[in-house]
Amino acid sequence: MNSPALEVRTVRAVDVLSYAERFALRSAVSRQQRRVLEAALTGLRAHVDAWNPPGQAADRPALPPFVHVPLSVFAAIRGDAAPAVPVSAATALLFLGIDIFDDVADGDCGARWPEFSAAEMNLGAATLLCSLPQQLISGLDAPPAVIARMHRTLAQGLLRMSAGQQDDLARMGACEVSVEDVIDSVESKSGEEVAMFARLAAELAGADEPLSDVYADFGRSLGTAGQLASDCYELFTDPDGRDFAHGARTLPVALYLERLSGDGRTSCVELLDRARVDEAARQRVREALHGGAVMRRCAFIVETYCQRAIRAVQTAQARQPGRDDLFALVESITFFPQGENDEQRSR
Amino acid sequence: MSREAVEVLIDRWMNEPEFRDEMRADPEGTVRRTGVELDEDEWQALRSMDWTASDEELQARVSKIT
Repeated sequence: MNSPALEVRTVRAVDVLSYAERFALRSAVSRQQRRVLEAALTGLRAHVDAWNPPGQAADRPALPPFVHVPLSVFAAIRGDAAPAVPVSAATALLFLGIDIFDDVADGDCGARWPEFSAAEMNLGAATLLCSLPQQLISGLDAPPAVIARMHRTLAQGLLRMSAGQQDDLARMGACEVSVEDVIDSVESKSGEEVAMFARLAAELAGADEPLSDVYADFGRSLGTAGQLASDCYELFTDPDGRDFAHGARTLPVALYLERLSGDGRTSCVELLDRARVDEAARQRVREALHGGAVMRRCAFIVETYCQRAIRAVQTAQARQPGRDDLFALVESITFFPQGENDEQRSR
Repeated sequence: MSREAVEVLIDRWMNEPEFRDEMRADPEGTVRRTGVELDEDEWQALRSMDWTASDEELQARVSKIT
């Protein structure tokens, strides 16, 4: 396992994962439930280990966002990440539940669930989303009013994400799709997920409502930028082409489709249908999108969300070392890294 | 996001070689001369973007960050 090498300041990924695992397995009330959770948690370890494999250039932050964001937000308010390990464990369990639901919705049951049915995966995901984080938050060393706020944040965040996922499902294979709808859906799902992680950490750190809102804005912008950039990667570069296979109408496709009408649009939708299973059709889609400068259009939109995230960190007057960690998260997503934003950040 | 304004800029970028050269040399000044209105984050995005990079170079960058 590689995760001990991954850390934000003094907190290692393994600290957060071990906390989450101990809490989850201790909480299980039956042998079968424990078995499902063990399988899920093995997948979480694999996800963290695969995040920044040894020997690879460190283009990414040290930890995946579901661990890195709460630790960094807490450190940006209180100056130390260590007390945020429990809330980071809660966001890790939330991420895992969301990830499993995504796998079930996409039909990607994956190698980590060979012994389990889709119904058991759903049960595992529901347990990870609806029971364990709430219990973990209830036991935090914080005033009752803070715990109550965190429960409300969790409930509201999951509700918004549920609506975003429903939008996603409704758009699969659709002929008519607007860019605004796609962006709204990504904000509702991926944006709200990271906003929830950031807000939970801010609330535990003692931030008042306005400051918590600013950190939630940071998370929302970061999560949205990250998902939109990932959608570009999936379409243009990823050899697996899962979005093609699922008929997903992600930002690059929506930007191209909205400029077509009549026969042109019909032909494009037919090509996208063929691209579900045909690599040659996928290549033709990529070429068409390149011809429409779709990558540059996406880059501008992603960059705008990155700039919004940077502005939130500045508005929050984030403390070091969390401030640099939050900027590092943005730097890992932008199409234009290498410190181009340094001048703005120092203001 | 004033996306229509951004779309106008990218269309001109695609179809007008002179506009493309101007954007590479002075993106902010070029856009201000068009009269297009952007919000604060979009202006900052415009300044941060590398307008000399090709689409292929942009694709290589996105493959690194995900």
